[in-house]
Amino acid sequence: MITLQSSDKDVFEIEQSILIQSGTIKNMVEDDFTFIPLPSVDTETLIKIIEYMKKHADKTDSKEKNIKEFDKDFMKKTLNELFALVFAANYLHISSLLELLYPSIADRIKDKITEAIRQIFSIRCDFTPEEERRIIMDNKWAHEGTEIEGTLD
Amino acid sequence: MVINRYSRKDMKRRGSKRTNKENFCSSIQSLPNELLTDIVARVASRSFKNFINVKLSCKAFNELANERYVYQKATLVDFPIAPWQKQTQEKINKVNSLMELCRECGNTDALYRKGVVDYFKDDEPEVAVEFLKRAAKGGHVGARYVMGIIMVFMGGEYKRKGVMLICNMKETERKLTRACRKSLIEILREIWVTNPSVLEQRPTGCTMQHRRRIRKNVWSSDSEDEDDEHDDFHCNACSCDVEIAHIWRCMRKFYRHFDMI
Repeated sequence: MITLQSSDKDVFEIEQSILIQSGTIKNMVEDDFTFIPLPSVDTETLIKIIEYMKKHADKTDSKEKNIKEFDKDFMKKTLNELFALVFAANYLHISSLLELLYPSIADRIKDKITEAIRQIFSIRCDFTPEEERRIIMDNKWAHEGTEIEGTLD
Repeated sequence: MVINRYSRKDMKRRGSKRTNKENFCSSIQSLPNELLTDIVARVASRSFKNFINVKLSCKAFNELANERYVYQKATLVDFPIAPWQKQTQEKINKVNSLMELCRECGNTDALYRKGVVDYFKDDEPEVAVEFLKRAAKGGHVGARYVMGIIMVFMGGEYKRKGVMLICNMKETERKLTRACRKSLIEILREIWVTNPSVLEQRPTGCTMQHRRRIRKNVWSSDSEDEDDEHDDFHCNACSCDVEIAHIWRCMRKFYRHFDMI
């Protein structure tokens, strides 16, 4: 059993066989660590990561459909939760989770106008009006002849 | 606090509530650049128009969107193969510059498209083959298929290798091979094929004159959309000959024109 500690100092004991899906943890286990502090991952995110790894630990053919259903539900989270997962999955080197997260995030901004993208990602436009106009003009040709959805859904 | 068996219901939420968007790890700006680049690249690989909208959202994203990796992953399905009618020269030039940039960044789709168009139009075919090789090396299945087809048309030792390549693809990934054939035919429909090496003569692989064996309950037709997924092939060369037949049928119109020159 390996002990993981979140940034909130909560501790979890998990079987090694499940945790080796994380490249980072695998390396530390090979160096004989049994207590692994994770100062970059908070408890809430770590719980989700552990849930993911537990489900994906058993990859037999019969479980494949279950895993796919689980993955689909697992991605039904807020964007902030998904960003926290991306950060943690990258830090822990869980490439299968990253490959699941990226398209989910990309899907959220599919076919959205720029203002909607800013709202979804909570980013502020820091272009001056002239700079913005110039980028629009430079790239206007890519939008010609198409409709772009203006809603925030 | 030690938890032996992890149970989500047992866990109580600790620490402050994460409602503030400026909290560490809870907003997109807290992600390191390489992760943001990956997200932007994924968006670019869905739709080029989305990619432009992301560029416009803020300066940081605009800069990230210029990363080589993003152009490598950008999808080009939004752009037709040949210039559309009534397009300004300015737009055509912009699209061409974008395609060139994508090729330089190793975008396999851009390399594939240029390779196919230039080879079949006989526009520096040796360079076109290099584009296709690069695309195939980068994992583009369509490029691998087209390389096989081109090698069959080349004849000699290349033909033998081409037949093996196509046959192997059909054996291991039949549906995917069919998709590659369709993709190639779609491009050929948009251009004017003039390369004599693909127009002079239809190559045949099988020297045994095997008759095509079709399973009984599959309706057979001679259309270009014929589904040969249910066919059994007597030999590797037969399997490849079916692919060549599809492509040859598509190029028939050019062949007649070529014949008249």
